[in-house]
Amino acid sequence: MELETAVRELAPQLLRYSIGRTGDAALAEEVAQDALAALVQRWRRHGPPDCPAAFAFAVARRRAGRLMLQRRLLEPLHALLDGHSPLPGPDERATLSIRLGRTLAALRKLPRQDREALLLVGVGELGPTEGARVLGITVPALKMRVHRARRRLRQLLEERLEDGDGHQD
Amino acid sequence: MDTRTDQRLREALEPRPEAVERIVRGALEPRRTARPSRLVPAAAGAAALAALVALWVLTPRPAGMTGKGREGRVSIENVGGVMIVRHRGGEEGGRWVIRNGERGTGSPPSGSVIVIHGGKR
Repeated sequence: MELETAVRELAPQLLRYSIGRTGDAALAEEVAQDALAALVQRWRRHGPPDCPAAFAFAVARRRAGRLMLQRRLLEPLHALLDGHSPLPGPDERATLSIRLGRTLAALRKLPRQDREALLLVGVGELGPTEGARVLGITVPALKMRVHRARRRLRQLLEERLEDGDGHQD
Repeated sequence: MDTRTDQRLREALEPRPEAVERIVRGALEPRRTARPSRLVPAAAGAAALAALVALWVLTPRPAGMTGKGREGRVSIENVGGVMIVRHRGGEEGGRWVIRNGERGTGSPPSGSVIVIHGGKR
């Protein structure tokens, strides 16, 4: 597989995963681009990794975790210094599509480990073997987490529809 | 493992094509401009602070500012019931410390003064 082909294939998957992970389009772009740049660098220096997708997603996962933590830590400081929070404010949140906002809200309600598994497999389209490799767990454990996350997410989204949120879609 | 739920998720989280193109271009650039590390300004700040501390420690200060400099500027001796105050610093004995109890008048400086204990002005 050519480097450029791999990058083009992985880009939308990484970006979707990063949006689901961070809930912020700008931050997601930063995460996805860092992961792809790391893959490109690795590829050019030492050849392609065993599984380019697993490599890129592992980088994206670490990077997203660090950026989210950094944001949470710096939020009070930013608010204090210039009254601006790095987290999306009400205006920014309002500009997110209603559907995306609902999906992100439902994702937030999932247990962290289940959400991560679902984002990698369901959103990032990683295979169970690659997903398990990124998370450092066995394939059956990954399948169990994904199954649990799907079931719970379905429930959450249906509950919202029944509550009358869905008619604006 | 693909299901309808995954499909809905992917549709909801679908990025804009221009964003995808942007990150592809950014990643494939031959030399990606590295973001300036936050460690650089921190290290520069620490180095500047260390330089300031070193400068403060190494700068020679007037003797009067240190405890050591204050020592031995005036010697006080008791010779046969007479207290002698002698100024040690400066050239030719330095300035007078005490001048017969009267400011501005008195004998020319000689480097020492005799104070008579219990005498009248």
